[in-house]
Amino acid sequence: MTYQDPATGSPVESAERDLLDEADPSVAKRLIAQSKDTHVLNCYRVYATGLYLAPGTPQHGCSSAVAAPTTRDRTRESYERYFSAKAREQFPAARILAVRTRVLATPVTPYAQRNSVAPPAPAQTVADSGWQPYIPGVGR
Amino acid sequence: MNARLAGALHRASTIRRRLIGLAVLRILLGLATIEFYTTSYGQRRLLWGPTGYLSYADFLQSVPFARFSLYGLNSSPAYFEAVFHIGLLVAVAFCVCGGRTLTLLHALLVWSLHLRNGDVLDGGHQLTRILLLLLPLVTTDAYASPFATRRRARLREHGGRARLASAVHNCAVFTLVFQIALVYFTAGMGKILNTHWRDGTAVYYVGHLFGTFAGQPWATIIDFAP
Repeated sequence: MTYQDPATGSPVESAERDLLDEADPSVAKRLIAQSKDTHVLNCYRVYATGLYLAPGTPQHGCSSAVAAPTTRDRTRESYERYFSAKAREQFPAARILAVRTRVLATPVTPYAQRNSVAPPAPAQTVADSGWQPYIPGVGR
Repeated sequence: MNARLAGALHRASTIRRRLIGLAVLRILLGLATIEFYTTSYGQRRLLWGPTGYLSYADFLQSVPFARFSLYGLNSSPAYFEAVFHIGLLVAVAFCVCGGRTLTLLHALLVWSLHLRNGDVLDGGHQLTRILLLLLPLVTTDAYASPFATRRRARLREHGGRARLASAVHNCAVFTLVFQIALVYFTAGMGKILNTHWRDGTAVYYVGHLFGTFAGQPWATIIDFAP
């Protein structure tokens, strides 16, 4: 992924981080660390796939919205703020200009074909936020 | 029949039941809340703070009843830090001591925190909130508390006499047990009535969809199931 600085028009170095381990941690991490990122990333997955894949359909909150005392329908800006903070956490020394979030999904092997030797289907991008301006100072 | 009913009502309003179980419940709920606070201590400003990803203004605008949360009363970072740390200290005190005042305070602070950001909650937190509504009505400090001896002595003083407080205690205990039983009953029924759970397909997908279980020995065993 390349990003062009809107001020200078020149390409800027970009870096990627896979948040799969935080979105779907191991049993030990899930039970002991009780990471709240797992929940927020799950909410974002539901939000992003609903928003980008099916425009015009009602926007859904988290699948387990019943667990929350209030609605969990978040705005795009709140997630941009979250990922800006995550970017700062991942690259503490870098000068960050923009943040981009992609949701990838790997289709699960159907139950009926569980014993087949065919390789698993490749991951597909199901949501892409595009480059969004970095929001400084979130959570500080 | 009437005599038996009157006897049962008399017993329900004289002797407070399940005091040891309630002390254990208090400790478990206290520990769970302390874990909730401490495991995200470094991220508290991002998750619940006024400059967090759900900003104070966004919180007031998007969350109904936001003003009922202590975190919705002031946008100052110092106020947030004070409420958060008081919440943590009250959770510790509730876990160790119990008692009505601490239980009420703890319930208020937990509800406030949960209302501030619902994204980070699950079904267990929902059950916690429901149980915390009932806990102020029961005696939680008769065992495993620094005040346990004194509390039991007071209860003995009232022994044999029917009291409204004892009746309320026993009704609340029944409701607590009923609520917990209902959670597991509905979870079990949901699986029994769902064909995917009955034929094993759901277990297969859980084993493959989530990294939590994928790669575990039992996920491999499921693959070889007929």
